[in-house]
Amino acid sequence: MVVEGIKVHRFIANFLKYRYLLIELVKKNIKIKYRRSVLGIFWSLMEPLLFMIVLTIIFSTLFKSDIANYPIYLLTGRLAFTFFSDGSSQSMDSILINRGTIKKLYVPKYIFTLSVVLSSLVTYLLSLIVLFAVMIATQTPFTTFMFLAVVPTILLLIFTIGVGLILATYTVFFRDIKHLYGVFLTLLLYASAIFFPADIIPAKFQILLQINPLFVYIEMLRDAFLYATWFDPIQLIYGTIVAIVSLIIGIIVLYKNQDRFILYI
Amino acid sequence: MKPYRDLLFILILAIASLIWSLMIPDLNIYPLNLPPLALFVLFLPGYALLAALKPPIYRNNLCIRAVYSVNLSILITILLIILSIPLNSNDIPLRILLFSVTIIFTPIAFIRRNLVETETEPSTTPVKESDIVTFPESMEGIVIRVENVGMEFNLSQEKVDNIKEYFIKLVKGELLYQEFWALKNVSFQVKKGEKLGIIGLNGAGKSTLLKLISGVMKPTEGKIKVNGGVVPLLELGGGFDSNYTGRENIFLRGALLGYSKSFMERKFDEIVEFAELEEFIDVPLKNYSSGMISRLGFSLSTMVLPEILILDEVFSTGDIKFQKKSEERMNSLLSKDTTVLLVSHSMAQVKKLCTHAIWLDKGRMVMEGPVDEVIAEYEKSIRK
Repeated sequence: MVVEGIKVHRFIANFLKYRYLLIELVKKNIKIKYRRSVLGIFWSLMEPLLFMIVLTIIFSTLFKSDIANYPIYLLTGRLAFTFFSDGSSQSMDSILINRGTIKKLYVPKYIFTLSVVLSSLVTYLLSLIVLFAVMIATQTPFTTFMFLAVVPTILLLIFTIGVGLILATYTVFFRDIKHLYGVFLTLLLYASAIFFPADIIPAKFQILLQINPLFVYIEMLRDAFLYATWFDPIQLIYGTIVAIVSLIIGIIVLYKNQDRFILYI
Repeated sequence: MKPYRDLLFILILAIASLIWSLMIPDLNIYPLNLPPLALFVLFLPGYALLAALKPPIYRNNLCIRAVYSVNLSILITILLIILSIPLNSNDIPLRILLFSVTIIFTPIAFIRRNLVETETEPSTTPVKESDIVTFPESMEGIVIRVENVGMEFNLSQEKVDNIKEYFIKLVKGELLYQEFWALKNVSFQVKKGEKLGIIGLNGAGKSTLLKLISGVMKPTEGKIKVNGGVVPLLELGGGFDSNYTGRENIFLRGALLGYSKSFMERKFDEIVEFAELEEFIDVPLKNYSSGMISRLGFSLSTMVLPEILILDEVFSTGDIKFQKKSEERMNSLLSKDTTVLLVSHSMAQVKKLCTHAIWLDKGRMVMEGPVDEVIAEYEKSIRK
């Protein structure tokens, strides 16, 4: 049941045909997001900066945390987490928001989800500027290990796309996943050791932290920016496997269900 | 062979930089060591990157690419010096990064080069305003073949679209679906240039059939084969983003229809001119009047002479002046080799525009044939 002439089965040819659409959608997401604000794109820089300042004050005065170079520790975690949470929760709406188009034109459905995740990647890359600025301000040495941050970023991107595809698909059928996911994200925030040291979590629950792929990616980012060391090989392997598996599951889930979208949107 | 020139070049460079790094391992007088090292180490990934990212410019010109790569490596060197990152030949993470860039981007460059050369532009036949409506005498190939198509919908009593209701209904045993075939055993063929009208009462499955042919839905059973680009002209003005300006919406819609950016840039002036929106093109769409939006929609949908045109109720838009213009364009679209599928309740319109017709009733095909016969039978059955 393939409508030929639209080349559904020729994935790559199709992707190339619509790659310009992908770029246009990413542009649109970013433009629309900042169009009405005075500071414009600078909001994506201000926000993590303010977040960092507030939490640094709280944690260095109230809780007396002993994390070395707390601002960088916090920012790496925060940037990665925002990327994931923005990307995945906007993915949930990506199919539903574009229902007008999907009902009228044939467009590969994953393009919409992919565009949302890619726009949060752009925001993430922009906010790396903040990280560099804070690194200069706190006199954190720049090392060549910094370049290795490419690895966790790519893994995080793949993981987010996978999760985004799964969420986008099931949100079409069950709209209230959105509310559940909000709660889940809050839980995940605490299970990723973003603003507290990982070892304050009791040994009993350490396993939760270790199997949380987000924590793994954040640790890898810290290895690159903060600790200037090699990745933990186990984390690297585990992170890669999780990312690829989630992408594969995402693609399968979407392809099995996308023909039924039209009946539900 | 051209495609292998790149590979050979990169290979030679790789060997050269390998030999170089083995021969002079202790050139670590920072920052004196930077320029030669950067030139060698950064050149390779820079070259691969450029080859991968900018195929149209650097495609067949090895020299230009090499010059740009040198520039790029100089730039990065300056950046490294500014950031005071010590670069030495024994720096392993940097090595790995640069080599992985080379390894990742070289195949991308290859794939893109080969694809760019084979990439085809969408049909750019311009729509001529003054074409006499002539139906082709000789029918060539078949462009649409519909074989035994059936489309089943699950009509639940109420629409269940959240987990809570799903479980409540599941527990109560109310999750009953009523099977409903919107289309069943529909088969027909459309030849190139044929104008096919689809008639029937409301709920006969006409719009479902159009959606199946345009690829928006997939049939539950049966096969649909379509040869050629389908342009649906379903609703004008729908699917625009109201926060976006006219200009941005034109490019967005073009992308949704699968056209490339360069193609849209070439068509842009023509679209704006036809829609008469030159002054308002950079104004957000929410400030447009509905007439302006539908003018833009019409102009966009008819910018290319499509191979297969799908019309769900023919429309007329705008003031009298624009109506005349749009009618002329519609006529030129309906002429020539364009295959047209038209759904309409106006029998006069179907008679005027179509050569053939099919009559659907409750998802089943009642009759197929020349337009006059089908309409005569259809009107007879309604009067009964």
